[in-house]
Amino acid sequence: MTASLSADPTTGVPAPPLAGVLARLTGVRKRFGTRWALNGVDLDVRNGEVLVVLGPNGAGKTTALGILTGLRTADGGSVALFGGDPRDVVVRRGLGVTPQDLDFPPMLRVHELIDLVRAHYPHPMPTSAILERFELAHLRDRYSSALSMGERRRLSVAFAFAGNPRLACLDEPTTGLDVESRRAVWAALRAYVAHGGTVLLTTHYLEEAEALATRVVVIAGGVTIFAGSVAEIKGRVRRKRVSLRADSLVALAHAETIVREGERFVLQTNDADALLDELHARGVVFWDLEIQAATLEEAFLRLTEASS
Amino acid sequence: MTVSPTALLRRHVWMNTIELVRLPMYVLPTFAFPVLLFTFFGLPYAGSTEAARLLMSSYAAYGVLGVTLFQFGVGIAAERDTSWERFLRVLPVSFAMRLLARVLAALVFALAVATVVILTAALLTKPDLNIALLARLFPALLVGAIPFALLGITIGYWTERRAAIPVANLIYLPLSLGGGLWMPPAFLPKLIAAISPFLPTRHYGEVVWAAVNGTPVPVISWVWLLGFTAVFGVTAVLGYRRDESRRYR
Repeated sequence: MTASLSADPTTGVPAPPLAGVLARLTGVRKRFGTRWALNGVDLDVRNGEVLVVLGPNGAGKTTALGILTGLRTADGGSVALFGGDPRDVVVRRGLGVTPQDLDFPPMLRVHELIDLVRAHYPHPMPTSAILERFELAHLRDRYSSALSMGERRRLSVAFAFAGNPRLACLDEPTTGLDVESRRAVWAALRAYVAHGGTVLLTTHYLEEAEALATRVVVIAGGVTIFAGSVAEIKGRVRRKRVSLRADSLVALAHAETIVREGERFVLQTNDADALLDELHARGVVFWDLEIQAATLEEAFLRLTEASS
Repeated sequence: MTVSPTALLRRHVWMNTIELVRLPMYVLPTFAFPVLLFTFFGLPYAGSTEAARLLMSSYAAYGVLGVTLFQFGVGIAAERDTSWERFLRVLPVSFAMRLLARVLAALVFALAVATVVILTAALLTKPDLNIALLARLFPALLVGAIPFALLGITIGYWTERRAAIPVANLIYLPLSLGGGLWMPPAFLPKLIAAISPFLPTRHYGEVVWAAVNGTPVPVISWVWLLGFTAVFGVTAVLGYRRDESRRYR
């Protein structure tokens, strides 16, 4: 799927200024009182990708999403959604949103809420298909106040896709979901992308980023500190976990930490090659060597430590 | 296929209406109070056709006043701080359309309340209804309610969620009594009668009484209502702007 280059004649949603970029934040700054919540966020959402925004609590992920979806205005930098202003109603016809916390009007039924959201979009998904995809069909006539936490979450995730938009923005869509519900959401998200949709999501779950992300953006302290693939983020942080057996071990220049775990020593290093050279040079006798790349979680911690 | 503005508007009006219809805590007082008060306090004095018509129009106005103060005032105060409100703001729909939907939903309730009061009056008294009278009364009830809708919006934006209901009641009940909607101004205690001509509800009353009497509305009442419309219009807009700049800057 490639981005269409002219404005959609039926929706009037303008084409992106750069082929393939659906949304862009450039040097976006946002101040609350005296505190700068965002202090230079750069972010591109490219057509057809799943862009995962990672960052610690309070990093500014939700604020950045709020600016991208037209809920708030930036104090600096530039914002473009489909080449237009996200505060423009017509521009937002290409945008589906799932907020982080969402309480529904208690006296409306599940299908009524979905129909309400659908009514805002030019080419919505059929209500039955949405109910099916998010495992809500049996809850069709239930009042929103009678839904469980997981059901409420699935319904609010369904809202982002109900209008069949070009871009779905989801703020922590699977927080508080059980494993099965999470898999249902992942499957729905993949199906949507397979049909040409684009997703921007924030998450706390690193395995979610590893499972879904085409690209990752890391925001910390209101600044974008990394943008790239999952493999790149891991590669950029070259930390490796080296595990080996030895009778004894001395302090090593290339090992940041050495921990004894039962019969094994576990070493953290930023340069595994140099560490092995050092071990040989020092004449350390070791066997049963294992070297693992850092998990995304370790890489992520490393990046945020480095930036602060 | 594109998004039809009328279909979207209908959807929002329906949502605003059905939510309240399913809420007994809203429906019961909204309909029961005007009907009960009419039955208790109006009925004994509604002997003549003229008296029956005046009391019927007064309690219909009292009912519509309740809709404006509660549906706008309490409704806006309760909703403006919710995650649902923030969600609606990122959907592709303008604030103007959502406000229009709120006005139309209030219109549905206002017409329903007025109809129920008029039916009660027709059943229990002899107002001798005719089409011409109703064709004067309904527009009078709605046009005269405009400043109160703006007062309701003012309450909605200037009071917090929990304060909105007591504040709305503190305005609703004294204004209804003082304006002569419960009993004719001539029957009011001296002190209240002295204040009455300065209350917006008194002039709302003058408008609906003129409608059922088939007499022209005193010009001074239009002037007062226009003045209140201007004042409450300003306070409503200021409240809205304050909320916008605080919450969605």
